[in-house]
Amino acid sequence: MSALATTPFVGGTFTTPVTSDWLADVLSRIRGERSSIRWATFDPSYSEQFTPLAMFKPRPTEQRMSAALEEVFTNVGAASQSRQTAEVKVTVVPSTTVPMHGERERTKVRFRMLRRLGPNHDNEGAAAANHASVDAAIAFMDRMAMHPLCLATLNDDGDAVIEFRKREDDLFGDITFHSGGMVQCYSRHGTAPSKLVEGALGSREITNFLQEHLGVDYSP
Amino acid sequence: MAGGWRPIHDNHAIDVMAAVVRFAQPVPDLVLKRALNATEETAFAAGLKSRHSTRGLEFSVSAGGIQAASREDGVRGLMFNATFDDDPSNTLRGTRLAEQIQLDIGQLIYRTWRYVSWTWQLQRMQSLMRPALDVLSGIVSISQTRLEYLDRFMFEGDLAAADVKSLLKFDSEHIAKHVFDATDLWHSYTGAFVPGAVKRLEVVNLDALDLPGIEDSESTRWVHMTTAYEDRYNPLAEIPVDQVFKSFDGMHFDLKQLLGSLITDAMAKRIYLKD
Repeated sequence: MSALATTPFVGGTFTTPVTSDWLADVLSRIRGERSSIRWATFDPSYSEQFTPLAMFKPRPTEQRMSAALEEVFTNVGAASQSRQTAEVKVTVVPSTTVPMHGERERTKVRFRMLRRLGPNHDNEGAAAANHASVDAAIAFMDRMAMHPLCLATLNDDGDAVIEFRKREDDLFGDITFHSGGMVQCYSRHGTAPSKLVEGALGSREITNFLQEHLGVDYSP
Repeated sequence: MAGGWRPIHDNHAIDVMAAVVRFAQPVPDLVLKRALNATEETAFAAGLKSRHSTRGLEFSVSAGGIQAASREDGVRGLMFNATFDDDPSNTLRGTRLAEQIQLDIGQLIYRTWRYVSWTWQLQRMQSLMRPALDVLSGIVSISQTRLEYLDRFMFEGDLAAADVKSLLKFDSEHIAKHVFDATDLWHSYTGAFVPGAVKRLEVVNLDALDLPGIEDSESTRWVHMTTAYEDRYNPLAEIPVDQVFKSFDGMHFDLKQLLGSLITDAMAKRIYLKD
């Protein structure tokens, strides 16, 4: 008997009153790939100003969904401008589908690609990818929430690094994944002095740093 | 646009992986309680904090037929879950399981929907499964270990062009030939014991499915590939806990070869199964 067929069906449709605050939340979730509206691909050139629909570039096979998307965001856009509420129907995607194009997924995809790099992959003597470090970074991606824009890369030692940027707060930070579950976290906020901490991922010190200085909620 | 097949993730196709240990005898109540306590400690520390009880079903076979009844006499088992989104304010989406450890009177199962790499997963399985296995060692024997993967591929484009020849190997001995000409949905299930030191069952279950998109939208064609190896042991033999994980390690290696024998070389390259 297969042990796989246990995924509960969690789909459904509901109607919800929408406010501009709710809308802002939806958009942040889409950018964070935490929304059920998973077919929407986020255009990185989009500014922080809300523009209904214009920010989405449906993939070819997702064209059929764009009508529903348009309906939702036209209604929501009207509500947003008038700061009133509107009723929109939100469809929750069943768990048989998974996010495929969100930022979190793209970052993991890039780490999987980087994981295959051998020594001197940059022609400047960089070490081969440290598999354990990259694995830790991939696992981290699925265990964090409320993250700012992030980027996957390797340092010269082959260790995985996640860089964080939050333009509106003038924030830059990164996490470097070392062996044995250790990480080094760095943050720089505007012109304030930079902060650096090293410790075990999951420790109180690191968890607090991630939350306070990088805006990252991490749950092991 | 003719379209093409793509894995569920850009460079890997694993949706779910499950590792199963089945016991030859029901776990006695007191031992089960101890094993559950041990599992709870590690599961909670590992972020699998959502706790659910599993109910047992009893089947009675008589001249009147088969009757099933739920057992209410205490906890028959527990599962500890982690989900992808713990944000309670997210009203948009239901809970999507990310990782799970389940222990009941008959089996111990680890499942993950966020596969990282085999090295990482094996360590994770050891940390989550070993506490229970250590408690149960010498008290109940192990009858089976099983490792299985669900790999998923989606067709992007016009459904009429959804030809599986660009996804599946035509000459694979594990795939029924009718699927290559089918324009509608199909199944191809094969399985057999393979030669070796341990009695090992090989399972290759392929399904073409049309899964719903959003309301009123047309569905999307998927091919689900469940591949598994299942080692079966003499119920009287004592299987050391280390052997369980060695067994999983060997199965993983063989399952990679098995998947490589099912999908085209181009797809194998795309999901990093081959260089």
